[in-house]
Amino acid sequence: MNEATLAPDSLAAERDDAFRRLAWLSTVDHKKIGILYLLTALVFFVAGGVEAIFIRLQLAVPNNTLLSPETYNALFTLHGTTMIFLVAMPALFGLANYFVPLQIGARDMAFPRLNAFSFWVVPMGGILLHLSLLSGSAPSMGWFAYAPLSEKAYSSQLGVDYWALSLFVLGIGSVGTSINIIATVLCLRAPGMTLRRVPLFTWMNFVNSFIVILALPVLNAGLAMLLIDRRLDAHFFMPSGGGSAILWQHIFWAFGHPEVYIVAVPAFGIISEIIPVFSRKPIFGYEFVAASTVAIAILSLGVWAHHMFTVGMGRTADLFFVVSSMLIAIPTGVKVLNWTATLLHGRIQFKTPMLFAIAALVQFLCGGLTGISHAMAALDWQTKNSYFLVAHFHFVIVGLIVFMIMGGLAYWLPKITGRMLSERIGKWTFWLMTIGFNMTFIIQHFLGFAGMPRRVYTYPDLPGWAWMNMVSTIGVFFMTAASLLLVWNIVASLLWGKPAGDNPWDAWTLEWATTSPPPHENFHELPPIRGRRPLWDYANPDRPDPVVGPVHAVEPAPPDKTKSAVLLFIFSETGFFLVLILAFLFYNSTPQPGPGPKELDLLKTGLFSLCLFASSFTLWRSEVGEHNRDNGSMIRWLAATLVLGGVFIIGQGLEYWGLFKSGVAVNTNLFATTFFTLTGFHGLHVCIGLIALAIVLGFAVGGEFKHRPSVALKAVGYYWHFVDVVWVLVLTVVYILPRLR
Amino acid sequence: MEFIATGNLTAFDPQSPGARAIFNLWHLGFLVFGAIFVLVAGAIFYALVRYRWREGELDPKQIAGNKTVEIIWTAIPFLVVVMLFTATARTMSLSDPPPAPKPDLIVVGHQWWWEIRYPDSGVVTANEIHIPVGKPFSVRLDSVDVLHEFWVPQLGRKMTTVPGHLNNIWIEADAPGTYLGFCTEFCGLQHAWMHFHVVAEPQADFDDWMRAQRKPAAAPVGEAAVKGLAVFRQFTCVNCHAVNGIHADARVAPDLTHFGSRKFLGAGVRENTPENLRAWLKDPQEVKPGALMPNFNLTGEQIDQLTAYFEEQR
Amino acid sequence: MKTLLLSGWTSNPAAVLCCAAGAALYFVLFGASRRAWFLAAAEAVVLLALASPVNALADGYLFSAHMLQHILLLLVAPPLLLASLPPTVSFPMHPVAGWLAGVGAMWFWHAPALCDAAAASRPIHAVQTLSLLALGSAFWLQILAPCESRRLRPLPAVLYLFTACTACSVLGIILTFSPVTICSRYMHPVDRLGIAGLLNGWGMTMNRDQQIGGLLMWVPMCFLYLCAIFSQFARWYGERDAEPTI
Repeated sequence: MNEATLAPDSLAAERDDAFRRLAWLSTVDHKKIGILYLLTALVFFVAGGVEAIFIRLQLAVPNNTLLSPETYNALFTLHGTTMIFLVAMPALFGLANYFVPLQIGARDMAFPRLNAFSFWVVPMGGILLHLSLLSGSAPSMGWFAYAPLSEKAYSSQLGVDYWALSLFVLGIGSVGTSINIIATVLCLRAPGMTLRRVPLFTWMNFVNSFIVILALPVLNAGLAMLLIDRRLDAHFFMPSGGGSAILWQHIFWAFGHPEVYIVAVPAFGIISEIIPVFSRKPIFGYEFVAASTVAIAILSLGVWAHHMFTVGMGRTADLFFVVSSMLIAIPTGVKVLNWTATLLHGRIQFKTPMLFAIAALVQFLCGGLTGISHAMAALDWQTKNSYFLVAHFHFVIVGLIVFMIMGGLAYWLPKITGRMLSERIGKWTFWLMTIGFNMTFIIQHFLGFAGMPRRVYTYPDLPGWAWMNMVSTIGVFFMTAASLLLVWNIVASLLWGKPAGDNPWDAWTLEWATTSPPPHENFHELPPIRGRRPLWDYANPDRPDPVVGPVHAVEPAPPDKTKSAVLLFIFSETGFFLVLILAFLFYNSTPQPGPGPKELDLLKTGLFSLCLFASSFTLWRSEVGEHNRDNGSMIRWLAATLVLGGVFIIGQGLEYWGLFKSGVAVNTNLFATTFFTLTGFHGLHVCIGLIALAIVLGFAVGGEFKHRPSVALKAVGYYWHFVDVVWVLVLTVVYILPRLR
Repeated sequence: MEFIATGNLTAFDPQSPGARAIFNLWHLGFLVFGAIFVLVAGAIFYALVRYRWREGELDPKQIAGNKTVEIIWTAIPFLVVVMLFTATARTMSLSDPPPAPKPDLIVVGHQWWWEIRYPDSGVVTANEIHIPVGKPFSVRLDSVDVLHEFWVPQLGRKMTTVPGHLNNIWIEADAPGTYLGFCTEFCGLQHAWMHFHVVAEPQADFDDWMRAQRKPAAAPVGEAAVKGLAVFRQFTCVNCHAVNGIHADARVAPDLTHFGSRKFLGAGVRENTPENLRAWLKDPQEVKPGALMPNFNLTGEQIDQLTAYFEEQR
Repeated sequence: MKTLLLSGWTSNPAAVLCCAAGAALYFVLFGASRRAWFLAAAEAVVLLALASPVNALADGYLFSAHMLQHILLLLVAPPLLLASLPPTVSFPMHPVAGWLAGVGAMWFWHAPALCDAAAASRPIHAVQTLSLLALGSAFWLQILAPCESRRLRPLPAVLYLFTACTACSVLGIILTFSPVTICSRYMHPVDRLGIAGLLNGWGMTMNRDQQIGGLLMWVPMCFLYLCAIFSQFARWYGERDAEPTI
């Protein structure tokens, strides 16, 4: 059971093409896609790394003129954006892509083609970002693009537009990958691999994917608003037009703080795999490590405003965000203590992956504690936006995440390539990296206390600043050497590495139960699964792990993957619309000068809305027809749905036309902007729904669904009903509520 | 911490009650975090030494967890969080009391300089704040373009200047001195050179300074200075700069009344000396690339005349 | 302060009577048992919400106190009430209905018009109180139904709680950052107890009051949901050889 349902013809086609290089371009195999993700991350790591080297060279001495301010500002913007969106996320998605299906005994991801799409979006997004360089204007407003600096009035060139489009596209890809990971974990687990038994790396990626599908749409809504401001002259975030610069910060950090966990939680997952294996003990308190991940995921969505303690939110709001941000420290602390307890009473083997994990653990301990100091608002008032903050987040992002990507590669590359890496070079890499990292970033804490602000292209020769900056810059060369050694180690292992065998580390999760590299279908045969460490049970029949969960229970059939995916997608879309609706409420809570909601024709729109609501009914009838195997009824009702949906869109068009004629355009005032943005995006979704319905109708007319039940109709149906529900909200918020006042 | 001797500008050397309150919180935090770090890192280090694997050793006892321990180490951080929260809340009210009904000082962020206004006396200056020692000043923060951030490490909290959203803080200095401040929110090209100075002086000195600042600009005396004023008018400088007393009241660029009394020019990019002023006038873009003042291609003579004029404006 | 603490307590004889009647009914129906302690706790919470200084403040003074009342009535009292019932009692209800009851109750009563109406009129306030208790019970029934087999399975329960938490947080966010007043009745309090000066002394302004209300709905409520989510995980991981699993 639970086989990945690749169409047989596409499998055959891929096998035929396997000898061609082109196979890599058209592959839908999760392992190849995983490798492609890792290679993409490597390419951009080089780019982001070179940017970092130049940044540090410029700052090595005071009053340096190596780089112009334009170049420096572009470099740190690109460095931040690249490292987060094009290095950390793809590298971690790559590892997840490769190892989540293997760890749960699946043949592939739930949606191989979606998987390929989500991957190819990453290089495309990266190219889009760097296209700005060709337009002669790299984005140079910092990776969080605070308005109004990111608005056209202050950044008139195309850089910000490319940046926003690139992140928008990358966001869509990330949501796709995450839906795929969730569907894979929910629907494709091998017999016996219940959710309570999945390895922690898989569990954390599973939980993490929920953060992604909730957080990324928030960013995308913000980016859409920013682009509307920039390209259509609206004023969402322009105080001069009545907009709010602070709203951008809320939207950005409502995404941005979860984003920190989006890259940190998979790294926690890698630590949780490596530490037990090289301590020769199971993870201490699996349940607590797993549940604390859920706590982190949920809390991470509600603490963003601790990035805003200095914008003047008011004492009350500050205090509550102090509390909520500090609460995150508890589940995180639980994790750190569990990893530490796993080490105690173990038999610790100092192999390269373990060295990285230990360093990451200690460095994360430090980065986490300075993180709490930022949650203490009064301290944040001093340390924010100084080099102390720079040091803090690099301790998390490099000290934990990059270290764990390197550790993960050292741990899993033998499985991917089938060849061992050199332990000697690995240890050199580790020590160079650890020394370089700590040299660069420990000193920056003190630099921050000595008053050095972040994002300055140069600085005067103030007492202490020069030598501290010099030390920091020197550390970079150690890290550069470590990165080069890592690449060399990989190349050398591909050329001369000794064969890895199935299970070089004597580890216990399912990815080690197959050959290295795994065959196309991943497993020839799976060991019995009755606990969290199937290979331990297999190797130690005399002292197996206790069985996890009920033994004799009949496992219910997994949920349908297409329906799950559509529901997850809807979940994600809800976040997008929520931001737009909240923005409408925010800007229209007091009447705007100029046109307002009262200009809208409630009666006319109400009538067209009835058509849309009726279309949900007709679609339901169509589903009933499908359920009763009555093809004719299904087609008739489906056609009726299309017509009703079309009428609604025409009604929308008429309303827009009327508004345009009376001189109301998207940039007229904030009411018009929020109105067109909200209803426009809804209309776009209706149109996409109509196209999907038309395709389903085409299949139905062609007799595609006569013999097998149609998952497609059900899936599109969910989406259509969702679009209708959103319209209920939009109608209430835009047309009805303002009239009640 | 104090081993890093960074002179008089570090947050480790607080010079106001607010900054001291934050510094005390930092001491507490350092103690707590340091203790946690030592305990946990110590446990890790102990494990690494004590439980290292030796060739041929068998796998150890497979311990999967302990519920009591988990509950204890969830509860202890909870208590620590409660304690830190209480301390933080206290420090917040100590270091950032509610604003006065009327500000003593208005600071407006511009790309890339600070406009300083004293609403009571009507004095307007740039990049240099004077306050009397030991007297808290309520400061209102505003911005005309993008976000900036006002931070004097030794005098306490930082606060963003947000266009369309006024913020308030207090500044106060215990001891006379000049305290360096920065813009800490990235605000575009010349974010790096958006420094300012807070000059704290005894009340009498402050009153003298204020009296001098209130006077309109003195009529030029020297021959070169007289010509300098003419150049100032001729080259449309008055479209951006204000000088009190010569009917120049544009507020786009720094107010230049009493410019000669300021210690720095270009928001900290150079000291205010005749040579540096000449360099600036020759080509502002050379001194501070991207500054909104264009290169007027002045002749050497015109530069000397302008310099002479501003040297007189003390 | 003293006036508030003293006079606040006697302000609601109706609530006290209702609680007494409830307790009497409970003992008639189910007799005395250990579970009755939960009933006592539930009634204590109800009285804390309705017959204490919280009520005095919520009555025309502070929006945030009114929000605290809602949290107690919707989130704290109902679980205790459900825990007091013997396993034989069962009310069938669909999870979607339960979810809508819990989340809907919060959203419904914070529409500005209804919020004002409930603050102005005693009967509407009574309806509000009872509906919060009833809808809260309907919500928690999915998690804490007296009859074990009627409860949601742990993972669906996590989803149920998480989505409810999000939906309430969104309302909290709106209240916190809304530039307008939701409940205009609190704008001009009639100072019946002579405590307006005291509140001013606390630095309570209209905006801050609403912000605290919104934040109460956001942060502590989420914390309660989070605790419930953890109890579900504990239940899930604690399950041994018993029933089918997902």
